[in-house]
Amino acid sequence: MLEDIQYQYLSIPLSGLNQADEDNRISIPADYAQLEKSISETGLISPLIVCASGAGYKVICGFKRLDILKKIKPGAPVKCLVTDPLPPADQLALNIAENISSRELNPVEAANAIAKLSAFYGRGEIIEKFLPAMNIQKSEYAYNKYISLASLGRRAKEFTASGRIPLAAAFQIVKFSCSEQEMFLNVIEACRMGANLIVETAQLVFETSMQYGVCAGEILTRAGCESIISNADLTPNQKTEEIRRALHSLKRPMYESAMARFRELAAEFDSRKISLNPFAYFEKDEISVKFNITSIKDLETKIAALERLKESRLAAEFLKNNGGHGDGARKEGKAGR
Amino acid sequence: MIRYYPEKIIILDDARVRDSIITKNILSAVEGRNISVSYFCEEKIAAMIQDAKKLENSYGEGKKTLLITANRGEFLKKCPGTNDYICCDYYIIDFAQNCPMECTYCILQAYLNNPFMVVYANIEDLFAELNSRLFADPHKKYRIGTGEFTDSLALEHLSEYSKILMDYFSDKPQFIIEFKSKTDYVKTFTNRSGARRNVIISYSMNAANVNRFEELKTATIEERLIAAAECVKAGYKITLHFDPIIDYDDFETEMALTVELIFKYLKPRDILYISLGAFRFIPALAEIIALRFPKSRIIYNEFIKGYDKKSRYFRFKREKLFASVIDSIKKYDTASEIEIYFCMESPEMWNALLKKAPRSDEELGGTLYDKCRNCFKAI
Repeated sequence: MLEDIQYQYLSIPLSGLNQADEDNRISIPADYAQLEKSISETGLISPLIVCASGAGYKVICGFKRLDILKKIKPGAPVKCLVTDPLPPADQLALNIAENISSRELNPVEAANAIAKLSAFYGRGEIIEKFLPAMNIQKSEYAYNKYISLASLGRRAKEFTASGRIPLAAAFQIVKFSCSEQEMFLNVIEACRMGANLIVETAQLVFETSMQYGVCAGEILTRAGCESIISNADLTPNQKTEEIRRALHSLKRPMYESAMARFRELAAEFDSRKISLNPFAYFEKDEISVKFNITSIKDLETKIAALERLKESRLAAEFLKNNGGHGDGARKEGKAGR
Repeated sequence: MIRYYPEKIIILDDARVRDSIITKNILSAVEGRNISVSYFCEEKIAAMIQDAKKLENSYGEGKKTLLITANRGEFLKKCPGTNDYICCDYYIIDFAQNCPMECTYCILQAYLNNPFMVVYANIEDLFAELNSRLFADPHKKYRIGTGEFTDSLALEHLSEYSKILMDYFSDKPQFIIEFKSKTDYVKTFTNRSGARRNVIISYSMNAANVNRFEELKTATIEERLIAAAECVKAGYKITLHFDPIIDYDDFETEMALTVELIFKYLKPRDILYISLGAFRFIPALAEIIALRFPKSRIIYNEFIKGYDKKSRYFRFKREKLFASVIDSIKKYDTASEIEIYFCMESPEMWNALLKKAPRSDEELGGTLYDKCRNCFKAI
């Protein structure tokens, strides 16, 4: 039982700690600026928890603190609470308990914790006992999601842990390979995308890859993401727009093709300041026509333009009773698989 | 096809259920099998349902339990339609819920809030309701099915519900009753003398590869068609439903294989009508499919939000899919003996691919009803 553990206070030189042994680590090595500042200014307030292991000591709790101490006080001994040797499952449980008693785990830490716990505990026990303690919904669904998150690549983990990508996006990109995750992260960084756009883009890439039965990297390549983000003439917003347009074209090729055809045929009315739009997703054979009139002469111009619309290829292809029914658009539109 | 047997049976401890012929049929059918049978009150059953919902894969696990209970709501329901899409004015008898088969696309996964297989045994209440409602409008052309919230024949080897319903409708020829299935169960229709003249046996059809990879634990298309041919031999008429039509690999070839198979076993005159409906789904179903069937790619395609708020294929894609199926059918049905109609499609789709769109749901329902009645009269 964790509450029965006896601790002994010791100062241990860094060389006495088995630094390579990260069995109990749930945090990811990263830049802990705030904690580093605190330790630099006031020293280590909370000691590490370690247990005797072989000739040295194995770290149970305090990996972030250890990372910092190695960096800023490499020669100084480390304040530690030493326990008797503990079974691995208890070491991990103790680490998780120590962490959640002082702060909330970020999603990656929670994922790492759950993944490591699964080596010692059954799925049901983790769901019942550990998920609520980590403020995670007590469900099979949440368990599976977090277990999957543990397999994110290192940079994707950093982005997720720091909140630079939302959790919903992390759950999508975990289905990508590590190199594809890198490509995706490069895209969102170059475009300086906000949270909603990141989620939407991650989902779009994943769904399109499933639609075509290819990997996510292939979709990012087909969308020309690499050349878009390296184009110095584009602002981040323009890059975002370009990438979204390219991904949507891949996701809905028939619609994009029909829209392109519609725009091409409607273009001749642009100069008359008549706006023509199809019914949403072309579900009905209807065209919406909008214009303003400023004078009687202007009205006459618009009426003449509408007369031309009657005989136009646009009407022939996109209105009923013309035998067309968007044939042009349909011939262009290829199924997305 | 392997027939469904539950691991346990739970029966509502209520005389209407306990003493029902349905309950007796089921208990008799499972006699000698290692299936536990328990009687519980309503509160206890409600608690068991809640517990079952917490199970991992509750939808799959729940089916191992067969709940025989009472339907406290309406049995006869109108098939829900949506303005702007044309519906066929169909009615449903809600006699059971859930299905032992595992079609990846099945809407029941998102629709039902009880993971058990459920059979409503209060059949006297059902008959009382039908007696009072069906005769209220003598001009109403009722086509009634039982395969909406379950498969019409998936539990027939246990409950014989369809047989009982056929007997009920046997002296009411003005009502058309349709049993819709993905099974190959035929005993109900072949083990009796003389076909009922208001009964239609109906089979779901799909492209051969969709049947293989997305319709798990069902009868194969060929098994269904062999069953259909047996029903025809027994004097029944058949209807076929291509719904959901799914944009799948090698669509045209695989669909053509199915259509070829249809006309290997059936003649055009054996088939009253064929309905076509393209795959559509609510967001909740997409999540369930992604979770339960991660290998299935059916939810990843070029979808739009339809008027009914469901995702459906982009119009021109639907049109291509439908045109392919219709062309395949027409190759065999050269005299246009089979009525083809769309399930939940826009007037634009009708006008593009079939004859002029019906002006109302009632008009389409009436056309299908008349087709059935005229055919039955001619027999």
